[in-house]
Amino acid sequence: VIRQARRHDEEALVALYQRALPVIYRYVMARLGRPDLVEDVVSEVFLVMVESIDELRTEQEAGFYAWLLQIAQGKVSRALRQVTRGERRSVPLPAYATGAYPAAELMATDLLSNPVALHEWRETLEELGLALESLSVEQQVIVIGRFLAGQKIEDIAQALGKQPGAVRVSQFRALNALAGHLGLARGSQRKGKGGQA
Amino acid sequence: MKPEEYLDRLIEIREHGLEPPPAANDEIAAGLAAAQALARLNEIDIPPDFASKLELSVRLRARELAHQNDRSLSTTRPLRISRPLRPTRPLRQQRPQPRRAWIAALGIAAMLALACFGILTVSAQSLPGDPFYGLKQAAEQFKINFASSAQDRISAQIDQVHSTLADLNTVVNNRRGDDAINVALNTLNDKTKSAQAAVAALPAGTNRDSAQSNLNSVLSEEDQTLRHLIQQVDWSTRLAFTRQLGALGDAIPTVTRVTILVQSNRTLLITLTGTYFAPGARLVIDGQPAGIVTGNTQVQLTAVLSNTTGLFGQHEIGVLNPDGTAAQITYRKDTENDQPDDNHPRYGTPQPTRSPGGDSGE
Repeated sequence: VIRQARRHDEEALVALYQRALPVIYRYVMARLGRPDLVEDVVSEVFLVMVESIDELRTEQEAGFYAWLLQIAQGKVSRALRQVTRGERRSVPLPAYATGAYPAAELMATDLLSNPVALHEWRETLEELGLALESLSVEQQVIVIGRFLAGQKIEDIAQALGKQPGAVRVSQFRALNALAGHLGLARGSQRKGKGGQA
Repeated sequence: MKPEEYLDRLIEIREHGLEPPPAANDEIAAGLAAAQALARLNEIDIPPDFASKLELSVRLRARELAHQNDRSLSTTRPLRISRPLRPTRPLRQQRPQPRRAWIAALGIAAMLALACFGILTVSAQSLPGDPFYGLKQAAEQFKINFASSAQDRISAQIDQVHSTLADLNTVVNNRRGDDAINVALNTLNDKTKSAQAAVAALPAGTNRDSAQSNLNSVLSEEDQTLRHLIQQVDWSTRLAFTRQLGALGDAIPTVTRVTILVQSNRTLLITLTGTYFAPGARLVIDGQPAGIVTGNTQVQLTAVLSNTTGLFGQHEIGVLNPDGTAAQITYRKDTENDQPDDNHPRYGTPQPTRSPGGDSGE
């Protein structure tokens, strides 16, 4: 598909788009948290994909995701630069709460019937966005490729030109950094473990 | 095992839907919890409207770039789409002056294509009696003619029987008038026959069995629909529905002869002869129930009609079964001396109506 897409084959490009849209949309949503910004950024990412696909040197899916996520990361950073930090991170939560952005566009529909879970999920999304921002571009590519695109460590390693062991180390560090930002480290996690036991 | 490997192993276990064993230490447990939190991002729904609009943009941009790559169109200015990302490309600036003729031709072609698309879209929604219904039929015929295989062709034909049945249902329920109903019924008849013939022409085998099964299903649906709708239509359309039920192989009433005797008390004794007269069948004269039925068998119906004026001139005399099926025959008596109670064969369903002149030989 990637080979055909490089020749700007319409169906191949659409196939790639359909496969990657959920990954990119969710990543950008986590980073930006505002549907109005998200749609602009995601649109830009995919139009860049169409225009620049011939520059992609890999034919592996993981490589494609890594490439696209780097484009998305760049677009997100650019969008964030254009929005002041105060607007960006103080507006979204009240905006969700006041219904400025339809919750159905952000959340799985089964959450909508549970206000407590919905509130927790909004907070998690907010925190995830901030936590992802703290990771390096490569770490973001690894964790998003792994947990949103469903890629294997070995494939991601090949896409990044690294050894799988090195990618596992990066993943380990990234997840611990995220856990720190999300308040999942130590105390909160002990509680979780206790619950499992 | 190194912590990063152990964490990765636990993540994989969880990805397979299993509960991982307790983490070896807090760091691993925290990493696992973070992975779980990240995976929750998959709960975010993608707005379908946005997804389809963006797909359209992707398609348009892909086409534009494909055209640019096409050497034969290399000098043509590409169609602009929403939000071009690199509007100041050197390549575009260096492009020769666009050929207005090409642009005009492309514009006209696009407009024509749009117009055709619009007409086809409208015609696809049209109903019998609508101006574009003929175009819809032509498009459906085109689809059949250019089906890639006999199986696809038959499948299309059966689908079209189904859709015509839906059209008929709509025009009857919307009371679109007899003309529209008759168009729908004639179309249904044609499509049913075509589908039956196509299936019969298939060589024996599993393909034919499968097609026959599909056809039987739609024919059964057709039968049920006709029997349901026949109760809602007027007399003349009822006759047409009855003919179509006959074409499906149902037992339907027919009238082959009518005799009328003037009795001593000046009442008329009317006797209809034919087939499949059901218990409870009624006499119908010129589309209106008339007389009192005094005898009724499967092949003969006798009724008495008060006679004040006689039945001079031409009349349509028929039978209406309780299930709504009907048949009639033309009766003509011009003078008191005529002997109309002869055995001239006259039409009844399922034969088409003959001209009155051809039936007035008495």
